[in-house]
Amino acid sequence: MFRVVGATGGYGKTVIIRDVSIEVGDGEIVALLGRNGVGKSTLMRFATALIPAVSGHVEISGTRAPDAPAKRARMGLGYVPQGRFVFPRMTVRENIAVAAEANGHDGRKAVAAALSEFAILRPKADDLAGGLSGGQQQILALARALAVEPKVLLLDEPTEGVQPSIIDEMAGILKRINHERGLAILVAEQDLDFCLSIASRAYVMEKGRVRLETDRESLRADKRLQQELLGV
Amino acid sequence: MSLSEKLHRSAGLVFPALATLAALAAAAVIDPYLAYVATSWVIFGLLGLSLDLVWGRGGLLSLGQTAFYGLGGYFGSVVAINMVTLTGNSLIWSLPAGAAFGALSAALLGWIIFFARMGPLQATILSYTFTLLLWSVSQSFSMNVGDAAIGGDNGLSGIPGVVVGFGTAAEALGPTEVFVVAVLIAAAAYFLCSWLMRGTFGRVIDCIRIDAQKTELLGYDVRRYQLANFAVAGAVAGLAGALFGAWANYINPTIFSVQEAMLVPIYVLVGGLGTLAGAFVGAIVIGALSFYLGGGAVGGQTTLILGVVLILLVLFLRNGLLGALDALWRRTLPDHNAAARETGSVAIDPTVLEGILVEATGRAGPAKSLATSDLYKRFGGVIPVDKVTREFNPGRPYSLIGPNGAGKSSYLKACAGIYQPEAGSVLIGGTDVTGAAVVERARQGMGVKNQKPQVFGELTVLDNLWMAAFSRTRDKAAAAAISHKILSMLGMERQAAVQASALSHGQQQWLDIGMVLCLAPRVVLLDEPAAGMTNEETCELSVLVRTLARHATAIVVEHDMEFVRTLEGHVTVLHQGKVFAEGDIAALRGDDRVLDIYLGRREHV
Repeated sequence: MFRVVGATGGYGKTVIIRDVSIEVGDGEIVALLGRNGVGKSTLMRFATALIPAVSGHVEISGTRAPDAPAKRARMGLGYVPQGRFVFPRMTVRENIAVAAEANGHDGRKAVAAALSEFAILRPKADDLAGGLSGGQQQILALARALAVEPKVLLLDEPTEGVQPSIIDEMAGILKRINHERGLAILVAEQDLDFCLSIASRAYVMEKGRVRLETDRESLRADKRLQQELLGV
Repeated sequence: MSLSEKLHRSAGLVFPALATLAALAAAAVIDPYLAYVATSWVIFGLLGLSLDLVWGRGGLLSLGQTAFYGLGGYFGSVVAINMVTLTGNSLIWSLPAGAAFGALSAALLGWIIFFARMGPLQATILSYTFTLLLWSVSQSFSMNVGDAAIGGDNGLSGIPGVVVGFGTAAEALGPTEVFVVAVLIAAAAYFLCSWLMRGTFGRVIDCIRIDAQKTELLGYDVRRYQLANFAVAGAVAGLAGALFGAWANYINPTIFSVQEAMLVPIYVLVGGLGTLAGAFVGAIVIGALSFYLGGGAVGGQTTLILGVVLILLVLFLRNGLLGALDALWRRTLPDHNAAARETGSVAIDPTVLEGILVEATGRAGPAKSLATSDLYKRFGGVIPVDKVTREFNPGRPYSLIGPNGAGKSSYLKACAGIYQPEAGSVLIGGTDVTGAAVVERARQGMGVKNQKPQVFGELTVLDNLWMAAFSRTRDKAAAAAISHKILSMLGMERQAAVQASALSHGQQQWLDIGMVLCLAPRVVLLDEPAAGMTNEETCELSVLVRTLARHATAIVVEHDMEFVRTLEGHVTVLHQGKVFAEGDIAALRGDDRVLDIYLGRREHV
């Protein structure tokens, strides 16, 4: 069980999210929805301790998580930030291996697994990540996060800049890993079709707060809600 | 606005003015020896100011400021030695001569640095090398210029002191009066620089520091602005050098030494990088510390104590003394960035947008076509653009789609001049621009939004738009009118005073698009504008692109097929750097080859 409790935080003096509480059960896929600027990315950065908490805390498997991103990663928290942030001066292979080794896994195996999952990375395995196109970097960022073998994976706009056929494959891979390894996922995404195809439940945010919690079926049926809160 | 907020806004004028008055008042009471020493702190502050212009504001750490300082000092002093007998007054010769020579030598070095488009590290090293070169040359450089004898490592002596009176009876001032004169000159230089950096020039310099590529894409000739800023800073350094010569009556090659060169960045860091006034604070604090510690009170451990103080300052006050004070003060002020949460929704008004575009036609001429012929770009073994020949005309939008890594962004960048192609040509409106710089293409009417949103994070939302509008109109009032129109279209009226860095990713995306609209371009290149947007926003974007396309040539790279469909334009599929297929989106959706390499068959979604 992954929980964020009473999250309040932002940048400098500016508070962006206020008293946000969410939870993602073991092996569950949950969507984090809302218009641009409502605080989805800020909540993700709170969850990974990349911004300091004004108040609130995070629990991973019932344990209160320490305030350091690296320690949270070691507790099994994976993260694909918006804007990719691959290591540009490392090759694709090294990007994946370093993430695996830093968390005590075999880098070689992780690279082999990633290259078999993501065919598009295979011809690029020995190229510098900085030379990849935007969409390829996005896929690498996902592969790198999976190499940490997380229990909970946070995805911030994972389909941005990715071609339609690979978005489709991505959905398939995430569903399979979720099924096989019981990986829990929290995904923030504007592509509602992608979200609804993998998530069973969703939180909808508005102006820095969670406005409501809903399941896939009611969300799909409620066109007014889609219009009002999501701008669909 | 509260009094505190108003005061904070004009702090760069009010406090330096008060400090100047305080220094003048202090001159009446302090003893002449202290006044003599304090004069050197003021001169070093002036030297620090010159570095802060190029480093704190311009973003280039120059270790060449002492070179311009020394050159200005030598040159100004040589002129003064020869001319002082004519007028009696020494400063009217040494100060302008020093400043002019400082500016000239800075312009020469700056020309090499900026026009060769050197990276920041190379530029720092080159400026340092320049200083060391002068240090070594000046050791053995002997020359008699009229009455002045430059004698290698013996230096140049007999420099007239500070004489402000005219005629043969005029005499050099005493230490206290010299202090007063130095304070007045430094204050004049400071207020002049501060005025310059508060205006449009300073704002462009700030933009260059934050994102030089975006500044150039907006149509500002980055290299000229950098060169001008460097020359101004050189003039300030030369002025300080000439003043130093008059104060010490003697200059020798140690002025070009490593120790001197390294002290200047320390003054700036201690006072507060980018604050301009901080350079004086730093020079005075360090000068005063060494002065009082040098009294022997603590067993002559001046260097040690000074070193520890510096380490503590750098560790705990990252933004220097003034930066720390500013941060403390800001805590008590209302937070404009809080409005970032309150964005309204984007509503593109085609009539307003059309008005701007039609008005632009009057100034910049009608829409232009964009054409490439056999355009070819390679990076090592990768060929992202492989002999692409295409012509794009105004009327209907063009979409470029294709697999990740197909070369779509690279193609746009080669058209924009960000990448220099190895072969082939690019034509805007029939004019060959293949070898032209980005800024030249921007002036031809090209507007570009790159894949990652590029906004000037430290500037407010409104200022970001204004910078774009001003680049095109060169008219402050017109720029303000246009930027307000675009601001309201973006639904960001309440965020006008928010810093762009406080916006979310999607909002930055819109702001970047808004900047392109302010340019009212004749050719528009948009790389993944719909990424991260809600469906509602994507609809607005579609209206926007279709409106643009009626008045300009519009090319969009996108993966959002629903968006591409609503554009109702021409679609080109790129694959491995080449044109793979083209037509309308319905036909391409039925093309098995396109489904295989790109669209997929939606088995999971």
